[in-house]
Amino acid sequence: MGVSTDNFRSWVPRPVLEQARATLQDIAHIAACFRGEGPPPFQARGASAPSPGPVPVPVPVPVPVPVRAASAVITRRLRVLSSELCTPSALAIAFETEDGQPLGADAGQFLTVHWPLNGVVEKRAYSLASRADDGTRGRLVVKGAAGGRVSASLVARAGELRHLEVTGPSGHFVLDVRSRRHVFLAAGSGITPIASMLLTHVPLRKQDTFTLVYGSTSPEETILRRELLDLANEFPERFSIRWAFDQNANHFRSVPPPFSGALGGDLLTEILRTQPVIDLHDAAVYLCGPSPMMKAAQAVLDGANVPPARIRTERFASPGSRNVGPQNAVAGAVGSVRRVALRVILDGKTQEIIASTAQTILEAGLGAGLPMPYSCSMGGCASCRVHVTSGMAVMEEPNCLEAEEQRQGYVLACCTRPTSDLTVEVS
Amino acid sequence: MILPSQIFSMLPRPVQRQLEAYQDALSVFSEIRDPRVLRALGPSGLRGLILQRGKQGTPAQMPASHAAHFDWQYSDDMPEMRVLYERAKANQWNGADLPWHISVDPLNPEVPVLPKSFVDFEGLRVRGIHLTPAEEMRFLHSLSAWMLSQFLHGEQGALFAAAQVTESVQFFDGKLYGATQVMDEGRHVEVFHRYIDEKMGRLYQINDNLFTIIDSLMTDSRWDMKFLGMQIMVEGLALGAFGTLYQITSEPLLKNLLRNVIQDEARHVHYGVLALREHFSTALSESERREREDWAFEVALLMRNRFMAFEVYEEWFQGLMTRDEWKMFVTEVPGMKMFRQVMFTRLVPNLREIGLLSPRIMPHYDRVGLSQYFKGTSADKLTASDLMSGLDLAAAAE
Repeated sequence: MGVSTDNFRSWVPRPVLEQARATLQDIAHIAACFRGEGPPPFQARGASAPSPGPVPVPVPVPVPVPVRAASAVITRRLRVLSSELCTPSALAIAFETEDGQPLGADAGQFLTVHWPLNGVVEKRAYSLASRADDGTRGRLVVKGAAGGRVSASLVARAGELRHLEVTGPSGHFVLDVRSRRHVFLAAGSGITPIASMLLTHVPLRKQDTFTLVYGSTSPEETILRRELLDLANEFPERFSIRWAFDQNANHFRSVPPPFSGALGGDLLTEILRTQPVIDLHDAAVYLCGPSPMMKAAQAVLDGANVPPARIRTERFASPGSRNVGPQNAVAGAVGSVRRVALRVILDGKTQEIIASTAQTILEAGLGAGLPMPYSCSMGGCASCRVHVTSGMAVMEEPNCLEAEEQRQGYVLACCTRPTSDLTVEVS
Repeated sequence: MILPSQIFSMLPRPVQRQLEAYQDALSVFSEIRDPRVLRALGPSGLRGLILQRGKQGTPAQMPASHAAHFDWQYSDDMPEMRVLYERAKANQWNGADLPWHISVDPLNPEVPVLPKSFVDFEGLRVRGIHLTPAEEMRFLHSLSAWMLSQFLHGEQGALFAAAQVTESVQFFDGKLYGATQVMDEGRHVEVFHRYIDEKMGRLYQINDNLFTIIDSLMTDSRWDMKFLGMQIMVEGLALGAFGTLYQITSEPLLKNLLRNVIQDEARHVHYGVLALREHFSTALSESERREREDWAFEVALLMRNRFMAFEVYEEWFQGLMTRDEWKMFVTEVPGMKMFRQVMFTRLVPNLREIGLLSPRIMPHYDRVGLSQYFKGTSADKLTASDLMSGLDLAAAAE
């Protein structure tokens, strides 16, 4: 009667099997040594192996490629004081800094929330929607946008959020303090940075006038409606609001009555024509809202001959909608990641580090311990702008860098990956 | 000789070479005087020297049998060790910060990893082996890659041994310190591996004697033996080897790398001295202490006499000279003499400090020419900066 190998293996205890295997291997090794077929004394490693000695025994080993390094970006921890829906689809998150240090934000700036989702830390920018002061507290408003995975995840945690990891505050969408007249055009969740500016500056800048045109889906979906109304009631001499609603405008009482319809080019033109309180002359104009509204407003302002220098805009694009470009797709693909030499000129000194084509310049620099400047770490604030002096790199789009800056060779370190040896100068 | 020379000469060459290697291995055991030391080292010697488990091309399994020592009281039991822990935390460094951009050409005589003076090429010539200048550089490249490969293998052993020591050490402050050493050793593996991979271009097999020592440490169930082996003996060996290379290399990246590593190693030896000094003087019987004293002496000899770079011999000179001729040659090369000098300058005073250099064993050290180190400074009285300035002075005098 025969015993199959499988039966034998299941019958013999594992330690015995392992011992037997090791013994067989020992015997095979000794036998090979006696035949003069022992192991080679060394293995060739890496790509820079010099020519071998008199008895070359090349055993090629692939050059190990570094996996994408964990981001060395240092986040700040916020303790969530409350997280409540302020409209059916928007979550207001009140927080304080856990380190007890002031938040240090200017009105209109944003925080980058680092939110783990499906094993990946996603980064999204959310504007502060609170009065900026020297305190430790603040508030974010997150709209559960259609298709916005992070926003939806945050809104779904209403009442349960305890902490947030953030970077920032970042951004340049702040009040033009040289101007005495300020016109704000906002739609949807674009109200958040504008509300922060209004809540901060209306009570303090007694010589200035502020007007807000605010479009929303419906009165019920209007973010921060109550607070804006209170502010307008408290400071009627210098702050006024014109409301517009896609639906149910008749549910809302105001003087003058709200406009009905989406805040596009036609409606904006009508509002500007019929509302003399909105005086664009010498005014600083601030735009924030969905892309179609921004485009339409820009066209209206161009038509009204508002100089571009007096227009401030805030655009957000989530990294999920980014275009990485064909070159970068190659660099990011598994198996094509390479090591490159990255030279960083910082404070006049050149530091040379080994980076990978899968890393952003910022990740590589911070990972090597260089004090790289950054804030939002997602292409939204330009704090990490660097000048490429030699080599090739690919920057993700969209980002906040102006076309002219890109032409001059500037890139954002947080969303640019080297595709060759690269030298950058921190501006 | 295992066989009568007439029979031996009739055997095929590969068989002769293998028997030479076994004869050399057996001589290691024949030199051990204490039977308890032989019992402790014997099984590891079998696995390392005879079966060559480190060279079989598969991962080596080393079963551990020590006890993990828990202290639910979190005793503040050794303030000196707590200070060392604080110092270790403050002195962490990042291997990625080293100047890896530096291009290393091991064959460039202008910036040699090992200088030509490391090897006595005249000693080869009198044995009938003439190397051209280019061959000399290639030989030095082999030797330096071999040394660095052994450093890397030793650091892997140190990484796992440090983890075991952290489990088994009897002082809670020592466990916290041990955690930093695990991190240190991990970093050393990282930097030596990267240097070998990116700059040297070749990785040598682990030396059988080094395998034997590591195997012995990992499988011994007594925590203080692990400690003695790892923190005093192997770390002492490492300080000797790193210090030698640090003094003589002209390659700036390697010098930088070694400087950082040596500063960590100095802490590790200090830790060993602190932990063992009290234990050996209070918790062991005289018989147990004697066993450790003998063990340390035998391992010191093993380290002195047995790191002969046989892997380099097999690559270059097997068939051109015998194994014994190679041993005589390599023992006398200036670099190896320097290595022994640096190693024992560090090791012997530490053995004295932990009570393993009694008048009973001193004559044995004297017999093998090590008595000159009896009065040196032990690791607990030597700061990392003292150590580095000593090495820097020696390097400047080179």
